Amino acid sequence: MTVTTVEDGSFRLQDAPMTRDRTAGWAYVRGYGEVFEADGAWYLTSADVVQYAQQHPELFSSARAFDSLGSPLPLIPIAMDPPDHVGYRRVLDPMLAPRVVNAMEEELRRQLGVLIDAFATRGSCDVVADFARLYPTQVFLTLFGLPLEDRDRFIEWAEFIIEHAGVAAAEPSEEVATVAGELFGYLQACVEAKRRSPGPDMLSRILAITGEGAWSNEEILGLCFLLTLAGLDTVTAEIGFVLFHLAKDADLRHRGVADPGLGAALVEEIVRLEPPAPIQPRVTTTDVEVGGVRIPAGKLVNVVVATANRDPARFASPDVIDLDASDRGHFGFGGGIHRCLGSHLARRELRLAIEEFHKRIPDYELAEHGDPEVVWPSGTLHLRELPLVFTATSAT
Amino acid sequence: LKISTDPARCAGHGRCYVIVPELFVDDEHGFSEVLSDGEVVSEHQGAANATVVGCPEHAVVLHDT
Repeated sequence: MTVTTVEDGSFRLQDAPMTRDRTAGWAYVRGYGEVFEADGAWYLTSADVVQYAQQHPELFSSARAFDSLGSPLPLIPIAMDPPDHVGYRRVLDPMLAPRVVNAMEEELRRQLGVLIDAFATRGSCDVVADFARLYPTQVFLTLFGLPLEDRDRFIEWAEFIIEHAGVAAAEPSEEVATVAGELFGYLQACVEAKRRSPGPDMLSRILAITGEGAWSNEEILGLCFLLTLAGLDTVTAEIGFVLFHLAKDADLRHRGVADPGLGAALVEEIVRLEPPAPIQPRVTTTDVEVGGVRIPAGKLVNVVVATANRDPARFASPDVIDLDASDRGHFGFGGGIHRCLGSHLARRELRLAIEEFHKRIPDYELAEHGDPEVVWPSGTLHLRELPLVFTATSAT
Repeated sequence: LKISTDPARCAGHGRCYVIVPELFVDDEHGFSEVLSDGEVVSEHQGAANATVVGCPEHAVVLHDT
């Protein structure tokens, strides 16, 4: 019988040895069982119980689970439960569907080219600072029809909020609330500008909805705020992880460069092993029995998709990248009704990033011995920096 | 063999229509639709099995006709 309540204080999420090695870090978390209570929260860690929680939003509520991000408005649609959630997703899903992403591809490739060309002639770069931090924000601004010049201040706001909002903190700090207020002010100005002169972008499309389905100003701002927090640093983090694994493993890199068609498989496997949002919070609506354990009503539950993605009961060779097994369905984009709204866009962003990077920089290595560090604990798991060296391309 | 999806489980991950576009297509919402009548010819059987395993929601079902 698994001990379900860790009472001696031996488990603390921040003690997981994550910094240099996620295999060890997630094994630490999984080692306490598939369902356990520790350090003020419940943890679901196996594929079966994670999937159960994702497929039962009526038991595992999202409505009160995201308070720590400091949003004064409801975060649409992540912090909503059925039935409200359904209506929002019905509107938003088509705006981020694969066919919409297809239409963005050419512009995204162009922007990637500009970003990568800026350091390709140098012979070295920090993937995080020079590339991964910049590109996802540009994609968001492109999607919303906003000027790319706003990129850098946008990044500052979003990074501050993510950095200072804990995974499971009950109340946002005063500083987070202040910065969140600044971001809201900017977003409000964007909304007003789009109302005056709409374009073919996602923000204008939402503003164009009239009649009963029209969104209030609060709803629109809540959505913008969420997309800023969920869509930027997650892709930033994942670009870092993808290029880290390719830089570290010469065979994998050579295979990926020789066959650009493997990009999609690389993305799947690395999102599975290094999900940037490894833990998704929920609150139980009632007493719930899961994995043979009873969780009382009103408890914070950390749904650990990172450990579910490495569950040996679901995945053979769970801790290694296996491009030939990239079809195994994973939880890296969540699941159930809250499946990542931006998953189709994120997958494309990552695949295009790999392709355009390899076109310009086909061989590269870690600049330093040893693996780079991830920031831990952190709501979004990401590399602090990723210095690479490579043969400089000649300036054209 | 016939292939189908359980609409109550499908969450729009979009794995099936990427793995085997001969059997599934993405709809306007990015969710999957089974093409034609879902009949799986023998050359697609391996890929069809891959979607059963690859669907994160276990929403793809293969059944004998």
